[in-house]
Amino acid sequence: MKMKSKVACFKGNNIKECTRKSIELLGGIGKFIKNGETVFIKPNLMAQFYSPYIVDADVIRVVVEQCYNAGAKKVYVGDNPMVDIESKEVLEYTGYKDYLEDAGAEIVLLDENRYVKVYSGNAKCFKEFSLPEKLIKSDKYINIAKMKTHVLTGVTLCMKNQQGLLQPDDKIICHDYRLSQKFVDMALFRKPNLCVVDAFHCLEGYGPMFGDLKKLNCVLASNDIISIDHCCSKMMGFDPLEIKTTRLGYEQGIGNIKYDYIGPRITESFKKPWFNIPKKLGNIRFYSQIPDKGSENILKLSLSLFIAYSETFKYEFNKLKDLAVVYGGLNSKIKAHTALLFGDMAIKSRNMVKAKHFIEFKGNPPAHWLKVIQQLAKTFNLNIIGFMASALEE
Amino acid sequence: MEYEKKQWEAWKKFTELSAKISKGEKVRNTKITMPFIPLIQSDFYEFNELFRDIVLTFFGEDASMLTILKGYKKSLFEEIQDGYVVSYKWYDTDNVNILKKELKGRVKLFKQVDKRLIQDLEKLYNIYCKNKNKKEFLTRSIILLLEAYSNGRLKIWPKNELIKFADRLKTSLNAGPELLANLQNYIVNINIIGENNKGVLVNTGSRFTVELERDTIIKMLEELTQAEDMKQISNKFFNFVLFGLKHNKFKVEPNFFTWPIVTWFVNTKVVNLEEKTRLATKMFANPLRILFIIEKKMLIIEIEDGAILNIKQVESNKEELEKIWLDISKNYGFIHLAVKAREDSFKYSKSLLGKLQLFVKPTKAYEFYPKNQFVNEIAKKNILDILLNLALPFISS
Repeated sequence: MKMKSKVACFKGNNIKECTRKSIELLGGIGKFIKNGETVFIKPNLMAQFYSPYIVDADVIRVVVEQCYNAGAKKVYVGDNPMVDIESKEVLEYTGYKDYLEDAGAEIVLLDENRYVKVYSGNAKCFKEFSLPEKLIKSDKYINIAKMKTHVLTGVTLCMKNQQGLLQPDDKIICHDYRLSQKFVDMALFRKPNLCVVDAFHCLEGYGPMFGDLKKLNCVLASNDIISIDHCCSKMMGFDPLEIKTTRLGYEQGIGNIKYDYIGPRITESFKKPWFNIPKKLGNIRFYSQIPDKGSENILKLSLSLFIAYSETFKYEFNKLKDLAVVYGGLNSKIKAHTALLFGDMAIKSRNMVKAKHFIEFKGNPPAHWLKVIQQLAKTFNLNIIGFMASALEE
Repeated sequence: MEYEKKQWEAWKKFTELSAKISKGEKVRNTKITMPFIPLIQSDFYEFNELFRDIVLTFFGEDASMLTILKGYKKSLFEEIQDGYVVSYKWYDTDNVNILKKELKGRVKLFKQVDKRLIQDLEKLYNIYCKNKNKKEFLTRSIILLLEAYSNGRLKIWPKNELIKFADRLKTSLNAGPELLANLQNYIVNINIIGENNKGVLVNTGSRFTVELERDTIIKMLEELTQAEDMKQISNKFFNFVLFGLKHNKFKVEPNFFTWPIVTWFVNTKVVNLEEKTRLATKMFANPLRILFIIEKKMLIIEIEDGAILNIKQVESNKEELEKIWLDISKNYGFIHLAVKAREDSFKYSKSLLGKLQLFVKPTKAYEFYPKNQFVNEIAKKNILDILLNLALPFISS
């Protein structure tokens, strides 16, 4: 019999207790995990920093312990972080590996493990992709997301969390206006059996990497990926159907937007992540006369760092020499001291730019956005490679 | 009742003696009685001196005060001119209306202490008599007074800057009970230097004595009164410490080896430290939970948006850093960074720093876990040294 969609939420001062209780309110882990099953847990571990950027180690640990309590044979934990960051950096160097192995989990460094090609029959744009073999072979799949805002998708919750299952090449495919549909296509292939959202310490503003801390002190659990995303985005002060992943997912039958909610009433207003690339920032001018959505998205992600911390650094963009950033096609001529051509479409318009120096970011779109940040920082005369280091030095 | 009687007599005697001294010998530092709470036992004489100094700062050198002992049918009126008690009078009533009528608008400041507050203080005092822990007594007394102020057992009116500060501190009680409970770890002896360079020593039983100019205390209180909550209070206090160190506003005795490092660091390296710490912690983990291990003592410091949110002393019977980190994480929640001061460098620095304080760079004085690359990066910039050195005096005291 099909289970009714339910979202449970527990608010408290102890993150471990919140995680345990939210699953208990949902009916207990025994409803999802049976004796002798193998479980694959996919937490959001996008970078080698900690909460509120990634899921708190204690939330994952409690879920691992619960799975074993329910009689699981093996519990795997794995994620493929952002492009340019190795799983090892996130899982080993942060201490997560030791901490979770102590609870009995087997850590899977996805970028070092086997992937299996899959075909999503009903998919609209993302039909063929690879998924970790450990996930395919596991009996159950648990998706643990972090409650955060995101400059491209508004929020990043369980639907967006699926991105971390992919290999770098698959990650950049459809990373444009089709991004939300891509996650729906993935969910059409395999939906999580249990979803958990760590909303203890959340991120607001220019997420997913450079926002501000927002404390909700709660953890949510659900049997429906659309229901939990709907519920969380509502808590965050968004119109849930404004979130494309939720709307498309609901429309295409991934899950329900009508569900039973068990827990306290929480309504917050998260600082919104939306921003448009400005036309001018100090002496930097931005151009995109023929839109290139993919490059615009990656530039937005990278630029959010500078926007978010420009005040903290009190960095004077005015001190820069005249710089033009082109992130789409051009249909009229422009002049600048230095021109930064962002993406293949901008590079094709090079003959429309008169400049002394050219910097090119190849790709459609340029995929390695951490490298983009580093290059931008170099161009803007900021040493972002040792980002914090430079901030600390002076 | 015996205790209260004793306190009352001691208070009366002390008041009369102080007034006599100030009238006869014109001793600048014993100018005003401050029968705030009955802490006039010889051990706590210094506390009254401190209260007196602080209160004078806020109430001015010319004041007239009425102290009412609610439930005792006793009150004391004092007139102060140029900081000296020129006259005082006892009244055998605790009825405010009668006293107001009697004194006809001469009272500038009213204080009312409830009998139950004195009884509670008696309980604390009895505990102190058994364990002789001055720091614990002082901390618990402060908390008790704040609570008393909150529930009306201690009333002061009309409101002034000092009271506004107490108000803010009172509202922060719920926000940081652990911080307050750990207050005693931070208590040091204070030597207040007045205008004639004469020191008034407030002995709290600490190993450390901080020498502070009276003006510096005033500046600190003024700063703290601007704070909205506990987070801001800790932030402002942190800034104050840095400012004081940078401008040689206070000295610490004994010349504990970390202080020269901190002073050196402040003078040479620290620019916008608060902003940098805020940014570092904001990008790394927010809140950030650091475990400091120094000579088998362990302390978790929780920093949110760069400001200290919480401090907790913890325990583990493990020896290796990695095992301690795992043990503490399991029992107290995940620790982002465990920092252990290396004992060899600890001793080495200790012996050298007296002579070579400006030449010894405080690097590699610790080991840390997990070996996060980000930590490696910030370790190169000595941020861990700053945090470690700031934590050392507290954990060692």
